[in-house]
Amino acid sequence: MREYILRRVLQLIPTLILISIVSFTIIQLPPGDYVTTYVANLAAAGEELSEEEIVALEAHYGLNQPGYIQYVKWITNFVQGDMGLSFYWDRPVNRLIGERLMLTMIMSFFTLLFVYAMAIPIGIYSAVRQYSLADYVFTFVGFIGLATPNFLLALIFMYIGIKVFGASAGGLFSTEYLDAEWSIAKVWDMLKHMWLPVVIVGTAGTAGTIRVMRATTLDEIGRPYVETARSKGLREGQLTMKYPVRVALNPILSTIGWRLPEIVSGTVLVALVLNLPTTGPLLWRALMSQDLYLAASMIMILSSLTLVGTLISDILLAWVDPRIRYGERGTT
Amino acid sequence: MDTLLEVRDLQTHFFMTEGIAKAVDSTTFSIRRGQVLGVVGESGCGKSVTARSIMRMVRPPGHTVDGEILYTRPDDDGQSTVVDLLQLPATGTEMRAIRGGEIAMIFQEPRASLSPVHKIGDQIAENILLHQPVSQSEAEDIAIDMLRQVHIPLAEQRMDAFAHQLSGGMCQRVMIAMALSCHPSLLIADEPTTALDVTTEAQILELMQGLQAELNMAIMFITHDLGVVADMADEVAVMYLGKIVEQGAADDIFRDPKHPYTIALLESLPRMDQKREWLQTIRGVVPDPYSTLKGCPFHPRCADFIAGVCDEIVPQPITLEDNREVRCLLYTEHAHQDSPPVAEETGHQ
Repeated sequence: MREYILRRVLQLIPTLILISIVSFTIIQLPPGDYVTTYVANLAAAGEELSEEEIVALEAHYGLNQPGYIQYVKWITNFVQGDMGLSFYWDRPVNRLIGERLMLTMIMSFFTLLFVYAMAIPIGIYSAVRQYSLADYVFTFVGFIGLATPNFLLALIFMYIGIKVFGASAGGLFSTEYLDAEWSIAKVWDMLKHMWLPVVIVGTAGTAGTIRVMRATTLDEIGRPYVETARSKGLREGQLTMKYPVRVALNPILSTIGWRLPEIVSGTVLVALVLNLPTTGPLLWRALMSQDLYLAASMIMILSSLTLVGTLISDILLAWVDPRIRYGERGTT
Repeated sequence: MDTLLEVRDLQTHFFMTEGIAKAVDSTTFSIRRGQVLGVVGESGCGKSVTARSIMRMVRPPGHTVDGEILYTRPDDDGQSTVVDLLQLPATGTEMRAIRGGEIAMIFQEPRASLSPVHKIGDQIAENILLHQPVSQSEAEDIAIDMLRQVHIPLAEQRMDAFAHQLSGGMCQRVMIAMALSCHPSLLIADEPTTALDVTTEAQILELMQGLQAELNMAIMFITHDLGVVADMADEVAVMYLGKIVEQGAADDIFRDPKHPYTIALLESLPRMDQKREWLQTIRGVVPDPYSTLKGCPFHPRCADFIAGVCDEIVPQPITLEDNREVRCLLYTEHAHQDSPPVAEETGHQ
C-alpha cells in the first residue's frame, strides 16, 4: 500500500509539469494580450495611447519577451510560492487568491458534506424501497434538481430572500464583518451565510449522487453474495449495509476527487449571482481581461487540486476494495 | 420414516407485468433425516425457486402464495416439534435462526456468492457468530477448523484471503465450510458444481459425500445433471414446469423410469454401451411461463400423448408399486386398455 501511494505521488510530478505548460499556453492562445485588451478598453472609452506608451507597457509587464521565457520565469517563481503580479488588479496574485481560495475550499468542503449526507442515505433508501412512493418522490425531486441550472436556483433564492425576508441572500458576510479581522463572530457570521450557497451549489450534485447511489445499490442488491448473506440468517437492514451498500459506495468514493474541481468551477455562475468572494468570479474576470499570471496561476491551482483529488480517490478506492489493492499480484 | 422436511402443495408465483409465472405450482415432496434428495429438471423448471421458497428467500415479484413447508426442529430435551416455515415471518427471529443455522444453502456461482470486499474468514465467522454463543476468536478457530475439513491447504493463512484470490473450486469449498459451520440438519445445494470444471466437480462431489456421511445431514441436491444425481442421491424428484412429475428411489428411477419426461431425459444422455449416430433430444421446447396449457403440462412434447385425454385432464400424483409417485395419465384408467399398467389414483390433491 505504501509502495502504491509513493508511486502514485511520483507520477504526479510529470503530470503537473505538463499541466503548467498547458495552462500557460492556453492563456496565450487568444489573439493579443493584456495590453491589447487594455488599449482596446481605453479606446472604447475615447482615450488613445501612443506607440511608445504601448511598448513601455509591454516592457513593464514583460510581455515583449518570448513566450517560453515568460513561462520559465513564471513557473520558477510559482514553485517558490510567488505567483506573479495581476495586471488588472495591480496586486500580487498571492494576496488576491489567498483568502478567496480558503473561502472556496471551506465552501466546497461543506458542499461535499451536504451532498453526501443527503444523497447516500436517500440513494440507499430509494434502492431498497424501489418503486415505492418515497422512491418516486425522491426521483422526481432529484430530476428537477438535476435539470435546474444552479444560477437560476440562486436567483430564485435571492428573490425569495428579498420578497419574504426583506434581506439580501447574497454575499458570505454581513456588512459589518466585510472588512473585519477574522474572529469567532466573523466565522459564525460566515457559516450563517454559507448554508444557502452550499444548498444551491450542492443541489445538482446531490441529485446526481442519489441516482448513482440508487443505481449501484440496486445493481448489488441482486448479487449472489447478498443472497449468501441472507441465507446465513442476517437481519435485512444489517445485511444491506454490510454487503451491497458497502460495495456500492466504491464508485462514490472513487469520484470524490472529480467533485473537488467540479465544485470549485461550478460555483462561478452562482458566485457571480450571489456575489460570493470565492475564486470563481476572480478566474472569470482574469480570463476576460487576459490577466496572464492571475489566470495561469489559478488554472494551475485548480488542476493541481484535480490531481490531488484523483490521487485521494484512488488511494481510498484501493483501501476499500481488495480487488484493486491486490489486483497487480494476480490470483492464486 | 424420520421425516425432516415435508413440502406440501407449494405454490410460488412471480407476479410480472406480462402475467403470473407459476414457477412452483403445487409441488409436494419430503426429505428424510440424513437422506440425499436429488431434484432434477431443465432450466426454469422451478428447482431453484423451490429451494428459495424453503429458505423463505424468494424476492419480489415472487411470492409463495400457498402450501405448507413442515420442518421438524429438534428440541433441547430430545423431542422434536414440527413448524410450518410458511407460517413464520420471513425475516423474523425464528426463521433467521433456522436459516443458516439449521437449513444452510450453497449456490451455483461460488465466487460471486462470496463478498468481494470481505475476507473469507470473516464471512465464515459471521455465520458462526450469528448462530452459536461463541466469542469472535472462538468463531475464528471454528472457521479455521471448517476450512481444514473441506481440505483447504494452509487454512489459517486462507482466512485472510479474498474471494478473487481463490479458484472457483476453492470458493465452493469455502461456501461449503460456511454452510456447514453450524452443523445444519439440511443442506440445500443449488447446482453447486454447474459452474466448475469436471475434475473440480468430482472433487467437490466427493467432499460433499464424505461430509454428508460424517455429519449425517440431509441434502437437497438441485441439478440438471442426471449423472451427478446418479452419483449422489438416494432419492430423485424430477421437476417439469413447477411440478414434480416423478419421484422415487434413485435406483428405481434410473433402472425403470415411468414418466415419459423422465424416460426422455434419460434417453437424451450419451451412453458408453450403445452406439448412436445422434444424441436423442426431447422434441419441442419448454413452454413460456405465462402460458396456461390445458391438461398435462408435458403433453405438447410427450411421445405417448393421447389426444383427447392428455390435453384435457390435469394429471394428479399416483403411487405405483415400488413407492413411486408419478404424475401421468398413462397410469390411470383414462389411458387406453392396452397402455401401460393402470394404477390406483391416490387423490393426493
